[in-house]
Amino acid sequence: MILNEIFASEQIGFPILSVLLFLPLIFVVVLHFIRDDHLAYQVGLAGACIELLLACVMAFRFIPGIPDMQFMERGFRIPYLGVGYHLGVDGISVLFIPVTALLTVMVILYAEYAVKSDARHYAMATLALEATMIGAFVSLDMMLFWLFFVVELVPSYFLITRWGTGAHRQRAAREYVAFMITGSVLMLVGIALLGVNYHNASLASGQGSGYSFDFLHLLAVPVPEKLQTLIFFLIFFGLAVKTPIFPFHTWMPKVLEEGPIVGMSVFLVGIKLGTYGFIRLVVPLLPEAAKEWFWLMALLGAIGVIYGALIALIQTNLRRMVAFSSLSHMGVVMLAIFSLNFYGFQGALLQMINLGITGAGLFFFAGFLHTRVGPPDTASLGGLVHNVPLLTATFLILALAGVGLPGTNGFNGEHLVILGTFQQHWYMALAAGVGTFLTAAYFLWYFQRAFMGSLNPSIHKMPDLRPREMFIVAVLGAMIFWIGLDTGPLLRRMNGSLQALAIRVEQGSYVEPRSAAAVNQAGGDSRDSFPEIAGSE
Amino acid sequence: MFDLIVVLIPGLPLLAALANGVNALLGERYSRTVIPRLAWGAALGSFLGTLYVLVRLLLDPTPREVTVYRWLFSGELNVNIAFLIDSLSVVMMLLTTSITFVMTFFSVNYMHNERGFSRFFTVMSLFLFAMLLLVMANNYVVMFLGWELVGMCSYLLIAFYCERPSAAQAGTRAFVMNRIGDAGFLMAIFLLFANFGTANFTEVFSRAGEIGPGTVAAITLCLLLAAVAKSGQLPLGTWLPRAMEGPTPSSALFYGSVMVTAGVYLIVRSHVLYDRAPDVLLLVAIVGAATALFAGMVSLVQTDIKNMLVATSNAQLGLMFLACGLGAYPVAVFHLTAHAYLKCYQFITAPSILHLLHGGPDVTKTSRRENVPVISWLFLAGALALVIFPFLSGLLPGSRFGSGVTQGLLVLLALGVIAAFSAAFNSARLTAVVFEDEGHNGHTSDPHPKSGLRFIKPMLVMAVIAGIGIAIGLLPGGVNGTWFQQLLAPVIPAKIGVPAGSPLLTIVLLILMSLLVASGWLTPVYFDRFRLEEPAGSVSPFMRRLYNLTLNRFYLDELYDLAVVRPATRLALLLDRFDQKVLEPITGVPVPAPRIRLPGQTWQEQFRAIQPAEAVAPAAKATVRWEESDERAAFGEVPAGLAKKGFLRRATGGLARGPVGMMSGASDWVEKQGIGRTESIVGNLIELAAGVSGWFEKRVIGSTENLFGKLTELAADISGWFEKQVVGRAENMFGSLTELAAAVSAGVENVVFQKGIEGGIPMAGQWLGRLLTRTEALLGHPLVVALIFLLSIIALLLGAL
Repeated sequence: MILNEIFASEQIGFPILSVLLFLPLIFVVVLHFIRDDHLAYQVGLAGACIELLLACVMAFRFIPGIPDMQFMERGFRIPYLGVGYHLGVDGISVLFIPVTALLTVMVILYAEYAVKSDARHYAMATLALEATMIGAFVSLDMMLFWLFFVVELVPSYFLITRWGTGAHRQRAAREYVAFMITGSVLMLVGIALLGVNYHNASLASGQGSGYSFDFLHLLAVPVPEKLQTLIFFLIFFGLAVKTPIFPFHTWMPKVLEEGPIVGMSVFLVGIKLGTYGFIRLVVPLLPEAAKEWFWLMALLGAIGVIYGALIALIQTNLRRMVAFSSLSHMGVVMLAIFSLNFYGFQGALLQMINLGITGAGLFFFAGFLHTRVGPPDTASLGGLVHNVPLLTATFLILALAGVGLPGTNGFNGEHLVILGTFQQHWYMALAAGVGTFLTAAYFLWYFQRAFMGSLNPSIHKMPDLRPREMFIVAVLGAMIFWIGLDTGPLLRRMNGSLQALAIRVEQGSYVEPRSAAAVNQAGGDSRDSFPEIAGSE
Repeated sequence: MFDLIVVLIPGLPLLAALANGVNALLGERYSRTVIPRLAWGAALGSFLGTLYVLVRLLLDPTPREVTVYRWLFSGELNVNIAFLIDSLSVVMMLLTTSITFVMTFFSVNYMHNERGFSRFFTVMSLFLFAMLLLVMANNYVVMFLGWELVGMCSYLLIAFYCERPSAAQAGTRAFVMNRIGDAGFLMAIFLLFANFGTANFTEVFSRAGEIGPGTVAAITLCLLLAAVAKSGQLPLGTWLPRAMEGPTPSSALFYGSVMVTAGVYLIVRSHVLYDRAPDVLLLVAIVGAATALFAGMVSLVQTDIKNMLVATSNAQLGLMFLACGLGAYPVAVFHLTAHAYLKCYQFITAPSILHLLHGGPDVTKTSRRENVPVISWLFLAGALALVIFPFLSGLLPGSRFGSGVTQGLLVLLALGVIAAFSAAFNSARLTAVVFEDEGHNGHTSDPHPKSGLRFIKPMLVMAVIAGIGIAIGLLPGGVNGTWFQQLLAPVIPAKIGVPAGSPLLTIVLLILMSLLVASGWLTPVYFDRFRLEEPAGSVSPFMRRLYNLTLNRFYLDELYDLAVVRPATRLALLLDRFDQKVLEPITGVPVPAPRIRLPGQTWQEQFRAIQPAEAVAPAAKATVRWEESDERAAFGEVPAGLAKKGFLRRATGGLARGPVGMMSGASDWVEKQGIGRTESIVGNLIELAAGVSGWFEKRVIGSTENLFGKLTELAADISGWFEKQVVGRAENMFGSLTELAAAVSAGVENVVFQKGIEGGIPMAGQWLGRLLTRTEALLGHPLVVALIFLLSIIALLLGAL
């Protein structure tokens, strides 16, 4: 697959991705010089809002239905090393950017309730985290991607240790960093090997020496099959730890339980860099290895679905429960990605976006409870229905979206996931099927214990949704029902890239590279084997 | 016009649900008269719309589709929110809207002064919307949408009295049990997509011949799983009796009449597929028969009126499944319709009877004397209809085929007999309960019986409906060529097929049926003797055990608890321990012990410490909020020099301990720097934003709310006007007619009822009792029992051959 490049200058007139990447960083610097906590907080919020606005503009200007890289920017390039400043988005990454920006706005907005100290640094760290995540989504140079992937740890570490709620937050933060660094080092080796392979291939074809980590360059150079398996597993470890995938998930419950009320935890639950890496990096660059090992990945996913759901069943603390429910949902996404077909990719991507709304929403909700009663444990809750009807309704809506009730976003994602999985291996779809009612069981059981029954005597007076919470809930609720009832706009943006990806997986990486026009032609021809893009006309 | 009305039929209840839902969430702002008016007004609107659609359909019986909008999924999987209007869906729509209208109307008095008044009516309207979506859908996906929403409404209503732990638990269990069926439904949808690329009814059914028998069997099995879970059939029916935790009107609507029939509707709707999978059809029959037997037996020993009613409901649903399994779809639909009205009626009369029997604070002795006869007669009418019913729907279809299909006839006959007997027995027992007030017999799980006087009006409505039900029953709707069948003919060709399974299976089925017949005769006679109240030793221990077994619904619930719920919980605990004790040490990177020891001061404690400060001095809120630092609080008492020394030690230690430690050292440094600089500069961006949003809230949201409130009031006014004008006038007319009838009937009553029947009922009861005692004595001889048993098997086998 050779992708056309549409440069930002042609498309929108200014380098919007660079702006998106550096705007939060600029605000970080500005905040550093504003000494007043309150003002700093306000400026930080304003920055996040501008960023969200820009991200939305970008998503709307994005041309749907084509697989090409858009808003491209090519900056400097370090000679010999081959690492370059190369940004661009396609259908796979475009939707993550507005979701990240939206969550950032809400995280900073909620700081007034969730953060009791030093809001300035909190806003700084959150904005820095946003910048690294957006950087990872927009970078097309694999080394750059890795760099953002790792730098993300710095603000995360501060957020956990400074604003964590648990007594063991230091330990949790250390473990988080240790886990991530181990994984990232393996991943770095994998990416380096990709570059070396490019170097060897260009030497062999007589184009001269030189390394490159450019995604588009790497796409054009097939990797020998044995090397593919090695690289596949090296990168797998890095991403598996990040995702997390069973059995590399043990840091996650700890970080979520000990970490900040919203802070980076929301991003941890909502923004799935790990699985994004699989669909961005692993599947297109190493299709043969993916086709060879898909069963292992799907198996790990299936184990994760059931394992996570079962453990979530007995959790009494909502934050731990969300951690395991996230493990379960990640299993679903893995199942979908490694069904290696169009519907599977679509379902995986949609589910990842959904998690940014429902998963993150649930964690926000845990934060709502935390600011009222402390750790949201069922022991300190009970019988809330009549006292806080809005809060109750919020949890019910989020839970039902997580369960995948039709009309909510969860249904559409899950539907596509199971459809894709069904086509590849129906027995794995059964795991997802079992997962659906286990999900219902753990959410509703928690609901029963926390909200029904007789009123917990330790609760004297609990405020219902406060204005800011109301705003967050309204936004999340609107997104849940919007995506649930009209998924078209999202799917249209994904479809072009995902179709190209499905063709890539089907044909493998060894087909002769052709000119862009020929590929477009081929893409047009193979429409027969892939359904028409709904509504792309 | 037609399209608009079709869209409005589910649209009106949705709007009502939204209006009442907003009210429920924002703290009950409308007056109490508005809420129910919105709900029943919408239901009535839907009902009228359905009548219009029925008329149009009678004029031109071709099915038509109405597309609302594209709810697109992806690629070729285009799923539309679209409705299919044909005779089957119109019958179901009529049933749903009329019963929901009556139940909502009835609930006004029932739910009076209840906590969660508007929550209740919200869910009722939402249920109507969901059920209409279910029966009107033109594809399986929209049907599934309704299916799930109906399940959610059921959850919300079972757990309505959520202060009670049993209600909360029953709700959760019902939802999870239903999810098992939903997973089956989803699998069926995927199989359909994989094979046809569509889930549209018309397309799937017209192309049903394209797929192999294995695939059809898989699809139909998945659909059967869904139907079994929704309709409370064995083995997934254990949630149904627990569902009686909800308010009575909703119990009637959901579990007595409308919602539980969704499973039958699903099978009837998919009959083209089922016809192509005879083995699955046989399974449907077996499931139905087993449930009928199970629920029939259970119903015999219940001492609680609501439980008894729901058990008989369950048994009747089993009969409907059986009818489907035998290919007698029109019979099933007919049975479904008439049974729904009947059961609705019985559920409504039950609480008022109970109330009269036990007496409430309002009811004086006189009012009791006044009301007992009316209610009892109404109840008796219902009981009679229940007795007649299985014969009508069970026997009549049998009479229409010749000797070639005796099996179907026999099966239905056998089932008719047992169900009839159970029903007769129950009716007799209930009548006994009503007339003789046997103390402990009348407890219901419903804690809120309401005044009997207020029920008379809706009960008259129900009496009319029951009358219609009985009339439909008397007009033999089950027979070929009658209007009911003709109406359904375009959708379900009126033919009866017998499952073409192997002869062995047929014989097994027949033996099962003969057992049913035998037990149908034996159980009521025996069971009454083996109650726990009887002295031990007076009865055989086996029978007592059987009685207990039946009383506890064969311990199915406990079995699930033991075999599924507890192992799952135990497994989860085990996995959790595995996660923490095994997986973590293996995959977890050994990290140095935290060098900074926090003096146990967690965020929570600080938060608690801050709270009162906030409450006392709101002006100082911002300062307190921003400047109170975790770290400073933690190290507040540490002298500065020591802290510095500590920092140096930490920094060097960090260097020695590698990158993680370094990072931590760096973080400490940044923290210190950050905390040092807290000088203030004034800025107003967020305040501006807050001001803007405040303005927005006040102006836009406030005025929308006003507008919304006005709209709601308008709607309420309209339905209020309607109530006054139309219902009121009709009531007046009806009232005068009733008075006339009452005058006539008063005379008749003096002569006939008081002397004849009021004396006659006890006499008949006595007679029945004596007969039963005689039979019982006769059946006490094992020889006689064995003989009857043998004879019935032989007769059935002879008939089959």
